[in-house]
Amino acid sequence: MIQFESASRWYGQVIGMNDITCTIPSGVTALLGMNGAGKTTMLRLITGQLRPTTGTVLVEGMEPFANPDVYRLLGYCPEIDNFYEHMNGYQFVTHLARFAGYGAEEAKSRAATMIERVGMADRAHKRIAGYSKGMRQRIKLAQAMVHDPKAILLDEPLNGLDPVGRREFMDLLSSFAAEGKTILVSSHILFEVEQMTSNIVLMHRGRLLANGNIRVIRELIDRFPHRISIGTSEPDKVAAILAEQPFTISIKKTREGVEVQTRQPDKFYDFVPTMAIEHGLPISSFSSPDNNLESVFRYLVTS
Amino acid sequence: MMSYVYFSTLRDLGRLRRILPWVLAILAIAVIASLTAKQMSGTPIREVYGSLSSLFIFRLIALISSIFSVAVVAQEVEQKTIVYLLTRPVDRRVMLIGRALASATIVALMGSFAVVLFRVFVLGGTPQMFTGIGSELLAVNLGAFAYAGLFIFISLLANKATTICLLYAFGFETFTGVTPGSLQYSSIFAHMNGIAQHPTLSQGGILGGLSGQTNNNAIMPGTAIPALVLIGAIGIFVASLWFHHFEFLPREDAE
Repeated sequence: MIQFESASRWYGQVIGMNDITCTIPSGVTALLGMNGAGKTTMLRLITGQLRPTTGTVLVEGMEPFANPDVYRLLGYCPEIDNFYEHMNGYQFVTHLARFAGYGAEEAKSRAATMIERVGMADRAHKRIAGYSKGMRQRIKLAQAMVHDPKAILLDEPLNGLDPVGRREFMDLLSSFAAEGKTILVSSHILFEVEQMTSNIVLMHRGRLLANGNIRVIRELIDRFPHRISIGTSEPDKVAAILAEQPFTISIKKTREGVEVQTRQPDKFYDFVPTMAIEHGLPISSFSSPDNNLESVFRYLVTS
Repeated sequence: MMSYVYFSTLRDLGRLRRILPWVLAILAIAVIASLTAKQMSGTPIREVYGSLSSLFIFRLIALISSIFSVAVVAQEVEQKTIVYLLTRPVDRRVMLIGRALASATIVALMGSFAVVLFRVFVLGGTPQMFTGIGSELLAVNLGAFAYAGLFIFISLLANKATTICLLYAFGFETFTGVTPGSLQYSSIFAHMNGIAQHPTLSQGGILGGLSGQTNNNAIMPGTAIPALVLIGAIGIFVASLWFHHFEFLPREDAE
C-alpha cells in the first residue's frame, strides 16, 4: 500500500531521510529508531506534509503531497499534543470528520462511534484543555480513524502513557489491525512494539537499517557475536567443553554460570542439550540477553 | 466543503474570547472620538467625523486584519494544529480560500460595527448621522477584503507576519498619505479614503495628516472600488496557490 523508492529528504544541509526503498504491507508495522532517526520525516512524507527531495513516495500508487485522494485512505495520529483546546473531544473529532466530507449528522454519529471505541465516551464532552496524556492519545486516534481509513499512521503513540494505558492502546491497535487496516507505528521504545508486531522497519540517522520480519532481521545479525547465558553449578566443565566448539568465540564465568559469545547461535542452541545429556552436566537456566528487539536494534545500529 | 471550511472558521474566529477585546477597543475608541469631536466644536462636524473615521476606523481595520489574517494559517503553524488541516481530504486551495474569506468577514463585521458605533457617538442626534454611511461601509468592507488578501499572503511568506503587516499599515500607508505623487495607489488605506469620500478637514494639521487627508491627489471611488476588490481577490488567490504548493510545518520542526 505504501511504497518508498529511493526516497530522500533533506532539510537544507541536514539529512532527514536518506535513500529509502521499502514497502509497508498491511497489518501492523513498527517504525523503529532513536530520536532523530527519520521516523517522523517518513510519516510526514507518507501523509504528504513533505515532499521527498529525491525519489518517490506512493500511497496506493498516488503521490501524497497535498493530495486529498490520499488523505481519504490515511488516518494520521501525530506526535504533537496540540489541539483546538477550546473544543471538547467530541467537537474536535466531529469537526475533523466534517473535513472528510460527511454531513453534520453523519459526522456526529461517526465521531460518537469512534470515541466510544477508543474508550473516551464518558469524557468526550469535557474540554480538551483538561485532558490527560492518555486521553489526548485516544482522541488523536479517534480523529485519525473517524473517516474509516485504510491505513493508520501513529507517531510515537505510546509516549507518556502509563503501563495500563499502553496495554489498552496496543489492544486497540490490534483490534484495528484485525479489521485489515495497515498500521504503521513509530517508536523508539523497542519492547513496546515487540509486543505489537514482528514486522519492523528499522531506521538510524535517516537510513533504513533493516526491514521485514524480526526473524529475518535476526538472521542479519547472526554474523555478530550473540551472547547466551547458561546457569550451571559446573561452570568450569561447561566452559571447557564449549571452548572446544568451533562456533564459540569467547566464554566468561558469571555468578550464575557462564556467558558464551557465538556467531552461530542456531548450532549453539542445538549443541547445548546434547552436551548436557552426554556429559551429565546440570543446566539450571538458559537464556540470551540479546534475545529481544532492543538487542537487534543495538546490533544493527552499532554495525 | 468550502462552506464548511468558511463557517467553521467563522465560528472559530468569532468566538467571544477572540472578539470581545476588539469590541471593547472599538467602544473605547468611539468614546475618545466623541470627546475629540467635542473639543473641535468650531469645525464642521462632518469634517471632524471624516477625519476621525479615517484615523480610527480605517486604521483599526488594518490592525484587526493583521491579527486575524495571521490566524488563517500562520497561527495554525505556530500552534502546530496545522497538521490536522493538512492531512484532511480537503483541497488546500479550498481550505485557504474558505478560511481567508471567513477572516475577512469577521474584520468587515467589526469594521461595520465600528462605523455604526462611531456615528452614534460622534454624529448621534445630528442630521448628518446617516449621510455617506453607505460609502463608508463599502470602504470598510472592501478594505477588510483587501487587507485580508495582502496580509494572508504575507503571513504565508514571512515568520514575523504581524509585524510586517503593521509596518505596512502604520508606517508605509501613513507615509504615502502625506506624500505627493502617485505612491498612494499602493495604499489600501488611501483607497478606502477614496471610497468613503469623507469631507477634507479644512484646518489640516496633525489630524488631517494622520487621517490621510493632506494628499491632494485623492483616489476616486471608480478607481478605488475595483482596486480593493482586485487586491483582495489576487491576494487570496495567490495565497491559495502558495499554500497548495509549499510545505507548512511547525517552524521549529522545519528548522
